[in-house]
Amino acid sequence: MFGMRPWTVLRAVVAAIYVFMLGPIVITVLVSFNAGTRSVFPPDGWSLKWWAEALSEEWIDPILFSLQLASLAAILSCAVALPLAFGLTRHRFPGRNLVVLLVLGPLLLPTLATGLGLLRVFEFSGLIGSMGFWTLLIGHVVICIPFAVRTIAVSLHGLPSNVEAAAASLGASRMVVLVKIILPLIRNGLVAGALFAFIHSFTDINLSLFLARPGASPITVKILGFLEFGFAPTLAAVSAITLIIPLVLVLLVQRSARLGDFIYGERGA
Amino acid sequence: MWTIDGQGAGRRLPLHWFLVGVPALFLLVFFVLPNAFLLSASVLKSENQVLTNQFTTENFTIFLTKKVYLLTILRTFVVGISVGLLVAFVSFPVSYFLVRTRSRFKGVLITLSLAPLLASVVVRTYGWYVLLDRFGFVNDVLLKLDAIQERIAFIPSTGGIIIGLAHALLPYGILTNLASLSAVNPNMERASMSLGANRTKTFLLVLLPNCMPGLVASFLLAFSISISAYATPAILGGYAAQTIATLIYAFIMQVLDWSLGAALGTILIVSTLAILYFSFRFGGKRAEV
Amino acid sequence: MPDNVVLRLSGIEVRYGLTVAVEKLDLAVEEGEFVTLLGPSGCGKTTTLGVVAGFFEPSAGEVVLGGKPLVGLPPFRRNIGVVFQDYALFPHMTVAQNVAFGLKMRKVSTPEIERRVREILSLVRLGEFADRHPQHLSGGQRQRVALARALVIRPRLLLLDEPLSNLDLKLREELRLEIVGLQRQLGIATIFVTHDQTEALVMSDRIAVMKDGRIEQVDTPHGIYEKPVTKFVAEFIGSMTFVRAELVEPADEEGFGTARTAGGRIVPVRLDRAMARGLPVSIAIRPEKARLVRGNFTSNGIVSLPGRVVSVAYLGSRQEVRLDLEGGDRGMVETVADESQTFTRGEEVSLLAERQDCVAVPDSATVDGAASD
Repeated sequence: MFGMRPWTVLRAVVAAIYVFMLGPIVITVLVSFNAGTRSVFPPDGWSLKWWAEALSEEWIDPILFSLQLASLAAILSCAVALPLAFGLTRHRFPGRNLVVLLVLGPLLLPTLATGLGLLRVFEFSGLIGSMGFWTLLIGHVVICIPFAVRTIAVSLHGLPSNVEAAAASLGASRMVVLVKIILPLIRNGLVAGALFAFIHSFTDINLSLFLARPGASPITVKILGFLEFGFAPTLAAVSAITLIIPLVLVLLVQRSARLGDFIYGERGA
Repeated sequence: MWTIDGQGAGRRLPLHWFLVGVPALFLLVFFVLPNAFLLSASVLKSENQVLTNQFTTENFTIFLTKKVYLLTILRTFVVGISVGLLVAFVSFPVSYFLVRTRSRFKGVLITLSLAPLLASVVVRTYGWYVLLDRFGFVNDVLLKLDAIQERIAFIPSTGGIIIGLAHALLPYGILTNLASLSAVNPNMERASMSLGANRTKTFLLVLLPNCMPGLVASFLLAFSISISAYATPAILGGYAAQTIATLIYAFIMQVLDWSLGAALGTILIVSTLAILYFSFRFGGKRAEV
Repeated sequence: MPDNVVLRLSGIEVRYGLTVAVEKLDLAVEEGEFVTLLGPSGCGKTTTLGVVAGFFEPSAGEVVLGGKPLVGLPPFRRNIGVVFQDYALFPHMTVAQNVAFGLKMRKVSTPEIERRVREILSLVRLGEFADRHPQHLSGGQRQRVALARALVIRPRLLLLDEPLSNLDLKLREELRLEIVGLQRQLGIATIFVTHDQTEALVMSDRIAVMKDGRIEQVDTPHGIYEKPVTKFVAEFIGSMTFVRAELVEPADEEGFGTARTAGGRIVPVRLDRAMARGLPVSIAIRPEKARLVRGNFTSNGIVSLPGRVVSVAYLGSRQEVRLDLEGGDRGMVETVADESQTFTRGEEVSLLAERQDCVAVPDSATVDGAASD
């Protein structure tokens, strides 16, 4: 672009950064196929035994637990986010900025602190004994709301502002307008919002750390707990599985919704 | 705005009251209240692992007077600043390349740069253990090259935390810089060079001033995430190199001392708020729906 | 040839992977000359400009500016002023700082910088805007800042890349004259890139018409309009009636030959260059050079093409009549709109033109090597 050489240098630098960025993840996946008992790279040989172990009940249960948790958190946070995004994009009202801060709060403040605070609230209200899936779910919905609201708001911004008026002028009730006109138009935004929320919940550790209990523990917390006892290749295989799940989801969704449109929006540019 | 419907033409509550009110209530109860609880606990005394109602500032003075704790707090901010700088400066060339390249693989490269976000931090950190461990890949290579005589334990260490976090947060930096750089007209650099500025001067005098907000934003974002990150410091730092987050976990889950844990949490919240204030001041509008 | 050539491009070729953006391009610009590269988007004109400025390296060919070879030299050592379509002003600098930038890079003394900036800003009538930021200027003002910034360094050559295409029509017409005025006043050799034929005709000393990375014709505006050498050139500038034909007799010593139209009629044509017998050509007739008469009319020495009126567009003092010609070609005639010249749709008419107004042009540049010169 500006003569050949500087661009070639930049290209080499960028290639090195990509290796830095993707290398450790690729290594994790490769280690999971190791024949030896230690997590080493390059692997001592190839085997699937760690994958067999990773697919045993001990690991599949927390993975399924995380899947349930993230799916429900995604659906619920979108259900909460949809009216919020609506109210915030379609109405100007006193205190709107405060509500915006409230909605983005879980993204802006440390998740760790929110997790800690939730633990304290549950303890205080005597719920500590019955903590588990439901308390985790509440926390996950809280931290997923900002992602869902932003993504849905982006797609609402993209709507022509007069579709509602046009539909209403044709005699459609508010409910009909919502179900027949608006929801289909922002379908991509809803799907993307749910996906981002799912990924955020599925990969979370800072919140689950304090709210997880034995028997009700997402896969990330479980892996972290085991890492204290050493880096067994099984954990690499489990990690690989937790990487594959969101990857497959993204690839599936990418076919129908253009996720890229929402990524910039998500950061609010 | 009062809604007036066909049937009754009566005055009703505005629609947005319902749209916004119910979800806002949810967030008040499960987000604002918990954080308020945490803040309040930081100024309450604990006795025998039970929080009392006595007011005290002792929780904070302990951290400021005991060297171990002071060191942990200091380490956390050193980690935050280093990670912020690393993320800002390493992600910048990638974003620049992605914005300016005419490669057919541009889309693939952008996707690849964001792909690590799909993995949990635990997964992203695991590979670093394999690389940096005393019996890991880097040691093997250095031994083979005769660069070292004995194996070195690169982890647990503060440096390990910094590398691990910078690696994990790089995609955020790329995303942030991508947004600011794609708003910079490429002809500006050409104009600068046609006017006689060489590449260095063009970079310093023309490009940098126009993408500074992105660089600052990526620094602040990486900083604020890394000071409250738990998993990476736990894996790569361990007990040898504790940070505020790992210390909080120890206080709350192991020592069961809410006062000290809450006080550390308060330090995190206050630092993050300070960062937010900064990023708003520097014009970067990070928070908008 | 008297060597007051400032810039000479010879055999320039630019490739991106497998696509060729510019192919075997030769062009010379003389001292003080205003040369326009005219062509549709994607014809390689901006790429050619980029090669001269040093933004792209050509895959082959030479660029010589004032006797000095430029290829391999970075843009900042070329001393060429560039004005971009999107202005490319530095948003973080004031107007004065924008204009001073090139002088600072040349380490000109501060008082001298101040003097020259003031001088050039008053020349582009922006004296009182010196301390504004570009964001607070109108489009036309921004373009004049860009012009001042490129001119203040006293470049050896000025390159203008579609500088007017982001402006509205009225402003464009004003700025055309202003740019040419400045260029004449400073006597600076200029290459101007545009896709707008009117701009090219009004502003240029010479026009190079480009298509698919090649120059089809270089000539004065008059020459391009009156003597297009290819169908593309004839089509791109102004409106034109084209009649498909085949060359029957090549040019005699006066430059006239004959051709057989698709309708089977033998007509006299003007030939501006040597073309072989049997070559497929188009007979190009300007609408304002043609006349219309009712019915079927034949006369020696006058080209007469029968057809049927398709539409009549009334333009006040003049009218534009569109025709379906015998043989399937579309014709257009521009005439005065008076009573003797009322035509109705469907009417049988004949399009008449003098033989010197019927130019036979080859359908493509490559057939007889009628490409650039």
